[in-house]
Amino acid sequence: MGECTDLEWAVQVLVNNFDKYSSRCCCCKNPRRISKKDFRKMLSRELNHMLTDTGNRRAADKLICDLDENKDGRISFQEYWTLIGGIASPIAHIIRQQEQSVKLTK
Amino acid sequence: MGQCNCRKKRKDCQELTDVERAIETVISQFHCYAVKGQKEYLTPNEMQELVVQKLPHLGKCVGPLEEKIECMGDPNEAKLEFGEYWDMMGDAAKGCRRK
Repeated sequence: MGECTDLEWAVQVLVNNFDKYSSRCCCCKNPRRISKKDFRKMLSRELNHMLTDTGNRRAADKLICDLDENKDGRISFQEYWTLIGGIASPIAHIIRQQEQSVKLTK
Repeated sequence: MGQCNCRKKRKDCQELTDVERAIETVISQFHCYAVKGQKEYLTPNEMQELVVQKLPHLGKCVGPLEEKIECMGDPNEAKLEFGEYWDMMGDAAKGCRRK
């Protein structure tokens, strides 16, 4: 990609991150997936700052819990994207609220 | 539009990993364009601006915008919330992977 924008850079980073932790299971024709173990590793290595907040940590725990219900045990790209979205969404909400309260106190 | 503090980084940014900075970027771009909805949602126009300006290479992976806008219903009422925006970025991401 030539000159990419901030947003395109961000999307690419998240894609590369999936590729970093995912692997193919047995046959090379299978799509890449992340095992639950590697997903936890990924969360603690790559999202350690974002998940220090207890609220966020709880959200992440819930996400992993939901994963456990999925008998498949391995996380596809779509599932990975949804999970990261589940982490991003409350953060987006918090940032919005913080900015609003700053405005109110001014 | 686009002139707001899109590039404003939080002060603890240096410590963040690339993945965290990437997530923050995706969030900040949404907030930056969601003017009318006060950072809660994008209008169809705002969504279109975002895709055209911020996804020049990946925009086509998101699919035809006109169709998406039509699906959103009445343009004066339609709202694209963060979750839907995130899914849209997921489509762009799948486009990345195909390359």
